[in-house]
Amino acid sequence: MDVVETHDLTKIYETRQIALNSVTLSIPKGCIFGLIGPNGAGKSTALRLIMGLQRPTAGVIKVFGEHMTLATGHLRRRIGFLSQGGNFPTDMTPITYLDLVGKLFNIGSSIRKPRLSALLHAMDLLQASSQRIDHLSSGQRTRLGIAASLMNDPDLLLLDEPTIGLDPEGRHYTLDLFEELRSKGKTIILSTHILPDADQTCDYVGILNHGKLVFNGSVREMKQLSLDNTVDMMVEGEVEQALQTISVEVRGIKFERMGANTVRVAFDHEGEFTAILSQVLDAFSRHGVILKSIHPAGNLEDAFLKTLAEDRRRGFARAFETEDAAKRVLDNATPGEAESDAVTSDKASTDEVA
Amino acid sequence: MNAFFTLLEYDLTLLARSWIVRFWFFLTIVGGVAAVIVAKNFEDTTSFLLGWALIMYMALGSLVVLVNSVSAISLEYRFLGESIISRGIAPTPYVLAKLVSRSLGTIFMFLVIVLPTSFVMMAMAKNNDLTVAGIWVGLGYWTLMLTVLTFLGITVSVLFTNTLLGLVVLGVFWYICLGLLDVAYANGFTPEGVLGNLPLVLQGKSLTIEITTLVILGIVPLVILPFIALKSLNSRDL
Repeated sequence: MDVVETHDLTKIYETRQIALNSVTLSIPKGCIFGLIGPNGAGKSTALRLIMGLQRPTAGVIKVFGEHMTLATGHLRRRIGFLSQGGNFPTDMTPITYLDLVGKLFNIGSSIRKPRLSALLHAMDLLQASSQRIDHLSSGQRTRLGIAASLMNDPDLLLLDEPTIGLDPEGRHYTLDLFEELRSKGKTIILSTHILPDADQTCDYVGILNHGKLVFNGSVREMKQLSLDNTVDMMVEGEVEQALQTISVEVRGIKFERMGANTVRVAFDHEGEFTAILSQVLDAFSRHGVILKSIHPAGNLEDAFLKTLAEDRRRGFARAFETEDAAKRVLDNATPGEAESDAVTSDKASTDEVA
Repeated sequence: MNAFFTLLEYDLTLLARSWIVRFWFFLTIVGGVAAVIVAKNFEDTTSFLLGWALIMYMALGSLVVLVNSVSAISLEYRFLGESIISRGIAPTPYVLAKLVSRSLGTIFMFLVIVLPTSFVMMAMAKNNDLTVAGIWVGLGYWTLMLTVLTFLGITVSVLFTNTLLGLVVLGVFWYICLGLLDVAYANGFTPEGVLGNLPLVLQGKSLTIEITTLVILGIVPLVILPFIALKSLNSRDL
């Protein structure tokens, strides 16, 4: 079962600003999903809609298989939420606030107090624990927000810009924490515009641009957008000689040394991967070069910029994509059909962009 | 229920730490002591003196109740969704906790000083005409009115995110209503006339039908206003 499903989710504010435009997403359990996009793309709105704090103008949000609204407090009991910038009751201290959060989640004193203490320690907030929240730095507020989001040991975490304001060490620890939480089967949706963070932690990413989901797929798929038919090989041994041999013997590729042990190989002809790759591996083998790993080349930042440029290039044609999506929804008579269509439309959009 | 009690405790703590509440509490004590001293040393009847004390409390105390109730939710909008509702809370326990907490605050602030003051006046006055039943009925009316004002304030607090605007709107409405009520019951613009039938109520001369009518008129908004507040909060983006 998908932890979060949205179907043609649309949010238009009273100011008539279109924050989200027909966003269809399915986020499986146990993954880290990154919502990335430029400022004002609709990332925070998407998270607040999933959290039930805002009402959608159109579309459906399901969390843990149930419709999420402001009234469904029992669903929010299973969710940890960090808002951007961290707005808290300013006259409280980190200790009193976390204690209040624990009580709101109905966590008994025997569990709440040790957990509170552990989170303050883990988030490096012990020294600031008795200061008023409005006296904390922005980084400390972010850490307090993360601590509060973990207070209920949630199954799903919604984190809006979780590394903003953190120093490099704090950022590193935070990203490590997310990976540890994923290893425990938690699902994390984080919004960020810091692409290295998304690259380091996310399994899947969705790119929002002007409220529209212009890409939805795995990080690997996204990276491939920037460099089609290119792979990075991690090797060990006498690489130079092997490359000289390859340049003479193998046709249809270009290669580039990316570092002491990394070779980037670009294939000129799409249909001949197997034949060309076996020639490359053969050359490596003859020169005693060991292939440690092979993965698609490209970086998230290039892919991100390329996707945004692609979206802009499509121009007015984007209007018809939205209409088509709306038509598909209207054609669906039953919710079950609508759900299957949601998955299909995700794949379609991914394929289209790819 | 746990969320309700947690939020109730949280809000009562906020009230206890409020400087407006503390200052008003101090003023009420001063007013109570003054009322007892006046009752002990002057020939005026206690129903007349207590009537004026209650009128003054309603005129000035309404402002404190207005501030406390109108700011109850509107001041928390900045972090309400992110720091409270997002912690597994639905709007219902939140609004109910605010209603109960602010009403308890209002009633406590009123009765804890005014009730003993009334009985002390009755016991020590030079010219006492108060009765125990009269005091209970009179203070009951006042408690009901202040509670209605609290409920109105919290409903306005949901409707207006701008606390000052909410305060002005409800303040104008409330004081106009108080003025009209006084004009309707007054027997002329004299110190005695302005009090209308209040001295008679404090003397225990109220009619049962009158008490019943006023209690029903007071309870109706207490039943309707929470629904309006809840519906309004549920339709908001937090």
